[in-house]
Formats: sequence, structure tokens, C-alpha cells
Amino acid sequence: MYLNFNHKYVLVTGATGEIGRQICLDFILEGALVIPLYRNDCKKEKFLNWLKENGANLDSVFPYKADLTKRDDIKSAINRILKEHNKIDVLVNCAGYAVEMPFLMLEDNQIDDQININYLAPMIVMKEVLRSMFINKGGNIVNISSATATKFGRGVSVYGSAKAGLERFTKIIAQEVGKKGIRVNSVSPGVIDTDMSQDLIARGKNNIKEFTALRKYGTPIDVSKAVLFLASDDTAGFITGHVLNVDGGIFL
Amino acid sequence: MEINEIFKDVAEIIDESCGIEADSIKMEDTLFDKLEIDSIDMVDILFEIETKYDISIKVSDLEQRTKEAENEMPYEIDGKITENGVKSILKEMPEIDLSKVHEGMTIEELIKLINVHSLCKIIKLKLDEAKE
Repeated sequence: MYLNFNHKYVLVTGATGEIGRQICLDFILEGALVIPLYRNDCKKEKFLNWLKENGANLDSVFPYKADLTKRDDIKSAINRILKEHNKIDVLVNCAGYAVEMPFLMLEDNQIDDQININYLAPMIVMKEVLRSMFINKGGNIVNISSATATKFGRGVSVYGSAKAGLERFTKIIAQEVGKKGIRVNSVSPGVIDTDMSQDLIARGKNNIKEFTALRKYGTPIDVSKAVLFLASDDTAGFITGHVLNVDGGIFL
Repeated sequence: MEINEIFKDVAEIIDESCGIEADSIKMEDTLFDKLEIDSIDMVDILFEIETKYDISIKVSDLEQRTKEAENEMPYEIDGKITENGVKSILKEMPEIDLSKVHEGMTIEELIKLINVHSLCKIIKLKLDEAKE
């Protein structure tokens, strides 16, 4: 079975994170042209080096800088992308930001940033990108959610509820744009073995694995494969508004 | 650009976005009632129009100009068209079915009267504004 991403433009937010970079790599290896959005120049260099070390041809990578907490920044980046590349076939909203502490200890700006990055930014990006997808009569969007959108989540109240909102938004937009040949889905990772999860893994000792049917943590590759599956019309052409749990069976 | 040329383009765009044959579309066809264009198709049509003519156009533009014409008097109160609003509509939107326009009608009812001709007029207005 072919995923058929040759010459498709794939926009990935949060591209320099461990999950984001794996998604970029896998799309590139499948023949796609990847447009990573990044905020930090140092992280961009590390990201490009990592892609190269893992076999990616950097001629297929077109990075753009954008601060996802700023609406105008997002709009201007996407306008530039569309001017220079004409279209976006696939959008992966992968950027995520969690501050792990009790709700009452959060500073106002920590609440704002988490809502902005996890909930508002995907909406703004989608609004801009959907316009191009309408014109091109098709497209695919995959939003990265979190297991905390539906379960657990103590200590990540804002992050978890923002992701829950994103999942609901995914389903509603899928209904709205389906008749235009645009699919919108979500991938909900459980505990993935990344830097972002190390505190959680350390605190949970082996308890998290005990809760998980497959008795292991996920990897960025596990998430990435699910994203590519949903983003391909050849593998998931009749799937929309779906939340695909990639969690090793943590809810069972 | 003349209104008849715009109409040809608009009919083709409606055909492409909604699958309604361009040849069957008439100037007086109402967008939402007669042609049964839904809100998502309308978004699609407006995107196509914006791209084709390099203008910015919104659904609200379709009835906005009548509000502007009578800005010193209330055009609507609580979503219902006032007497002044009716006068403004009669003056600014003669292309719609005026027999259905009456005081107390809702904005939604007015939007349902908007036809292909209204859309073409707005495009012409925007194109003329862009030229100035």
C-alpha cells in the first residue's frame, strides 16, 4: 500500500519537538515536501541536522519561523508559505506546550500560553490553511491531541482541557468541511518516551506501564505512523472526525 | 468590468463549487432559497471570487451597503428591519424581490432574498473601489 505523498506539501507546527521532527522525517521519506514551522533558530539548526543524520534530503524541507502565541505572526507565515508554494496539502498541528503544576499555582501568562498554543493556534492555522484547501478542492488535517484530553490530567488542567477542546473542534470542523473533500482527524498519544514526558515517567515509576495494556511507553515513531496513516487518502480516505488513540491501550 | 461578464464568471464558480450547471443559473435566482447554496458552499464561492478578482468579500458585504446608506437612522432594531431599513433596501437592492421586503422582517429573511445579481453587484462595487 502506498501513502502517495509524492510532491505533496505538508505543513507541520511544533516541528522541532521530538514528535514533530519524526513526523517531518517520515513525510520526507515518503516523498513529501515538508514545511516545518519553528520558533527558535537554535532548535531549527538542531532539527535540520537531525533530519539530515536520519536520511532526509533537506531540499525537501522549507522551514518558516512563527510564534504560535501571536495571531499576526501565524497569519503572516502562512501567507508567505502560500505565496511561495501555492498550496498546502496536509496540515499537522503538532505544537504543544504544557506547564505541569496545580491549576491554582499557574501564573496568568502560563494559562494564556497553554490555551494559545494548544487550542487557539491550531484554530488560527486551520482557518488560514483551509482557505487554500478549499481553493484546491481537498486536503487533510491531523491535530495532535493528548490522552489527558479524556482521562488523567491532574497537574495539566489547562493543557488537558485545551486538548479536549481541540478534539471537539476537530470533529466539528470535519463535519463542516467534509463536503469539500477535506478530512480532519486527530491523533491522541498516551505516554510517549520523549524529553517532555521524562518527569511524568519518573514520577509514575512503573505504574504507568502497569496501566498500559502493552506494558511499554510509546515512541515518536508510533505517533508519526498514525499521523501519516490518517493524512493519506490512500489509507484513510473514508476516515474523518476521528480521534486515533496511540496509547498502548492505557484506557482499557 | 460589466455586470454581465461578472455574471458569467459567477455562474461558472457556482457550477464548480456546488455542481449547479452554469447554463441553468439566472441573475434573479436567490442564492440560498432557489439555488439552495449552503453556508460551506457559500464560503467556497466567496474564496473563489476573492481569488479570481483579487478582492476581499464577505457574506455580510451583501447587505452591508444598505446599512451604510441610512447610517443616520436605525436600519434594524433587535435583528428586525425598521421602516428606514425598508426604504434603504428599496433604494439599494432593487434587484431582489421587493414584494417580500417589509418592516419587521429579519436580517436572515433579507439574506434569503439575496440573489446572483446582488452578488455580481457587490463584486462590481469592489472592483470599482479597487480601481479608484
